[in-house]
Amino acid sequence: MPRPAEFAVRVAGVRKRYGTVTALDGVDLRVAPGTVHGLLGPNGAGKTTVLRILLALVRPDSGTVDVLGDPVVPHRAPAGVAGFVESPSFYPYLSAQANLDLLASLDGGHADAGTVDDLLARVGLAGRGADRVSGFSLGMRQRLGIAAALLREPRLLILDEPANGLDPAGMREMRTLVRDLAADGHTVLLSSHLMAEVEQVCQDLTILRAGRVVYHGTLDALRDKAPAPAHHLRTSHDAAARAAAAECPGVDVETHPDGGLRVRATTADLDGYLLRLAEAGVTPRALAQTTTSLEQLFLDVTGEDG
Amino acid sequence: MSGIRRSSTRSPLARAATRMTVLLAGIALLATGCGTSGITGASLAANVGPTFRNMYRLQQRLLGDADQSTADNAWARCFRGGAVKPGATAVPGSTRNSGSGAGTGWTCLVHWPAPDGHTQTLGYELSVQPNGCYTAQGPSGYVGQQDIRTPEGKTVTNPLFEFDGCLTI
Amino acid sequence: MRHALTAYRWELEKLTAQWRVRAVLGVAVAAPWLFVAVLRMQDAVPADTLFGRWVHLTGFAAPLVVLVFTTQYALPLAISLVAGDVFAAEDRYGTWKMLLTRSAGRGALFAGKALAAGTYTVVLVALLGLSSLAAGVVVLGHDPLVGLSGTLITAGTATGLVLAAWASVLPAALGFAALAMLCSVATRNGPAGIIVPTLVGLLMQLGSFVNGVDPLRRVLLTANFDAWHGLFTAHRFYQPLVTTGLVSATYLVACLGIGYLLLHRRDFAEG
Repeated sequence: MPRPAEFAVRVAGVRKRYGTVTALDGVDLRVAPGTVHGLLGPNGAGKTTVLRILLALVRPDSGTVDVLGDPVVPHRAPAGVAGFVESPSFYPYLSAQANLDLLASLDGGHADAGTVDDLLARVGLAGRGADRVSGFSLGMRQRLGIAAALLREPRLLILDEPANGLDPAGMREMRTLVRDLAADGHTVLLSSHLMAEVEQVCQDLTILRAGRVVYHGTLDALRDKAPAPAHHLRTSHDAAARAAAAECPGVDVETHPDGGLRVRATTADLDGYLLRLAEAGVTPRALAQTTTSLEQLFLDVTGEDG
Repeated sequence: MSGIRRSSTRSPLARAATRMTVLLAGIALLATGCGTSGITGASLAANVGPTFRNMYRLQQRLLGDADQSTADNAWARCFRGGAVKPGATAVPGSTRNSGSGAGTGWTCLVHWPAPDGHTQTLGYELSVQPNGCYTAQGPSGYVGQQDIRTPEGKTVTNPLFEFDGCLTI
Repeated sequence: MRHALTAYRWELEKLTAQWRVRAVLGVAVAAPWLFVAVLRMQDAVPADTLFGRWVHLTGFAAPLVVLVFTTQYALPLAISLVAGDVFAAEDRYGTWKMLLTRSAGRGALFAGKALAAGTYTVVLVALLGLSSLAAGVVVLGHDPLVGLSGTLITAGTATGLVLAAWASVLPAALGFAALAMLCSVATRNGPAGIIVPTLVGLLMQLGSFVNGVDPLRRVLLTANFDAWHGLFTAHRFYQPLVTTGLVSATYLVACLGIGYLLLHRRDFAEG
């Protein structure tokens, strides 16, 4: 049994190259037990590679990888860990029940109808056990993937973009499920390319960019560093609006690619700016927040902002 | 001590599998190498003679004849090349079995001594496959057409017109 | 071991759920009956095949004709249709990541699939042999069979020898299954796993008809398909069965060994 202070996941100095492409270039990562840890990064940053290494699907070129206190043996699935990378896949010609039974028996167990029904109900697929997976939508397969992971009764869950393909209601359910799992004592490591998604469920965060870690710590600490949120502002007279901004400290204005202005300011500073505009005779025609402060930070840090 | 245990490129299982494959390959090669190409005039003659005798018995049985033993002292001589003349008692250059290898162009002369002392010679043309199985085609004028009629009126294949055999190789 | 048997059981379940497998096995049962029915209705005999000329005399010739025909043309393909897809199917469905993140190791998964493909092969050959023997005896009669030396083989002995002849091609059949599995693992491509072993089989058959390469002929996997002739001569000989059996075993071990190593060391960056 790992000691309570032991990290659920500890990755140090991991490198992985596929031919000439460097997927991971010295990644360090620590996941505390019982938390929900977000692995964030733009597409191609290496998130999936990290998860594949943790699941022993891929062998790293160098570095150390420990999961639940034990080193990961290449090509042997670590005990106590379950999850999926990219979209979970099943045999379309078998029913959901049969698919889960197959996976359970490869773990040395057996999934009878009762267990499967309970599990399916928990992930929002109640009553679908006898249906063939060929008829399942992407969202349903995502849920079935979580059910398959929970079959193993793991201590660590690894989920690759779990909200992928879900509608807003489904995303909400997924977030609730993840929070419940954490409350039950599971450790969850989930990856995403959307900060907004991660903000809502994770306590800790690792941001990857081009195979390297650019941030590793808690979400709260990150918020303290975050810049002001961005807004899209359309006015009656952009030039005058710019001039007005120059006089307001804490308000940063530039041209928005879709026309109008992009304004970065905290709420308080924004209020002051709008009042200033009114004094200058400029009327705001539309004002919308386009990114949260964290989303903005993420874009800045990963260099995705235009 | 944490870390990645690299499985060696020569894991114990890989070594065992390699050794077993090499061992089996060695045995197989030895076993196969020990056989010679058994297709020679002598081996064909040793096979065609008895086969002809049995085929004659079969033909007589199909035709309903009681005495099937009249060809029991037939024997064959096989060689490659040379013209075949059924009924001829000797062909120049064919005093012994000769030739080897698979293919067409084989001739087997079946010598069939009759009770009255004169020997009938039947010429069979053989086509031999590399696996040692052959098809022998005989002179229809002497042994009958491809099909014969049994006393019951059934049409069956004439065993002496064309028969197959396989050499022991 | 336990995981391998579990994996084997589920592989069989997956195989029987696929219509392709059921179709091939159905054809294996039905086709000999069709063939025998055609023989019954026509006067001509397949005289260019061993035992073909005797099909109207006795029903025991028919299963041997089917044996020659099947091993020459159809068997590697029928085997590869299933054995050549058993690994590539996981790539196609993207299910490797689901299987490999369980307690069963890669070796157990490999063993389960190999056993399932082997079982399919044995069942295929058995169905073909039994079906053609039954069809021959029922439709064409059970008179004595004319052996390769011209001697008559009684019905009881003929039954046993025909079954033995069919059983004798199992080593090569399993060898082709192993070859198909290796192609499936190496190419991760379903069609390649089917086409490559079939082509190899055809090339080997063609090669065995070429003269002058005698020692090479005996190390071909297809040599085992011809080894049963010695059962039907007056003085039976068994050496080709032993030799070709060993050769087939070599192919089997080598193909399975390489296939296992490829799977064991593979990085699953997709699927």
